[in-house]
Amino acid sequence: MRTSCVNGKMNDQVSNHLINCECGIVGMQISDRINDFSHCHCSQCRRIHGSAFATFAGTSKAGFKILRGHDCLKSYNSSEKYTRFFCKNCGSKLFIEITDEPDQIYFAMGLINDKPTDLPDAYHIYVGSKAFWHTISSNETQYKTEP
Amino acid sequence: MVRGRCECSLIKLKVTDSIKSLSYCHCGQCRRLHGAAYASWVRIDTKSMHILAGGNHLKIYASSNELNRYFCANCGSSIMCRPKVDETRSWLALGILDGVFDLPEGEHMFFDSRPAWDNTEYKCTKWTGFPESWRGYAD
Ligand SMILES: [Zn+2]
Ligand SMILES: [Zn+2]
Ligand SMILES: [Zn+2]
Ligand SMILES: [Zn+2]
Repeated sequence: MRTSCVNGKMNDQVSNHLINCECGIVGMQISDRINDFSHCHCSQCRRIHGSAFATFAGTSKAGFKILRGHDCLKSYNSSEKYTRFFCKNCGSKLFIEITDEPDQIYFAMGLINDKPTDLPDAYHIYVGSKAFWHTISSNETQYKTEP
Repeated sequence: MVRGRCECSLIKLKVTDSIKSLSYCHCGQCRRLHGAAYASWVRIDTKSMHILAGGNHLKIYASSNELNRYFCANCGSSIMCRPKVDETRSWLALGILDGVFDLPEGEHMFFDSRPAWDNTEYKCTKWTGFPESWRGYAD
């Protein structure tokens, strides 16, 4: 699902976003295109993010920089291959690294307010684990686990 | 009774009375802290909530003068928030609760703070700020 297509056309406008955790200590910059956009309904995301699902945008690790607050980053291995990072001062969920995708990073979309021009179409993963109290109301593509 | 735990299981809790209300908060603070489109909160009476394990791993972040938010210092799971002015009520992060249980109808709060990338169609009642169920905290 790593496409950079928006409405079927390659989009040349590259993202540039300055984002920060809620308390402001951790600052990050995204300077490459967003190549993935998904809503994860797995039980780990549900517990950690405390909501029905978590939303992540993927980009290249090369284009992702921690500008400040390294000391405040705490990592948590939610499984053998998944490392999740959050701010240890405010608890903001920040991004995920996956060992099988060493050049890629997935950051929490809650950190972004606007709609990036290169945002790919969203899809839903792990809908097989979806919360009993949540109904997916969009007609975006759904995967029982991962595509 | 409903049980809940953070993702790493250090923090465990149970709620022995009913859930009073369910609100989906789209405010910027909830979005950044939860890293999601919105946070899902269930209101309970604080006295009906019992921390069974890991209370020492609960980290408090005061997101404003009025509100304390609690998360697991080890795994980062959002656990709950509680108004400083009225500690008799708590809002638990719905995602940490186990199993299937009764839930009141949900309502959306700070609905106009939705991010531009969220094009979901939401049903249920929508409030631009705090709903009735948060009264006392908000004013
Ligand atoms: Zn922070
Ligand atoms: Zn997930
Ligand atoms: Zn934990
Ligand atoms: Zn909120």
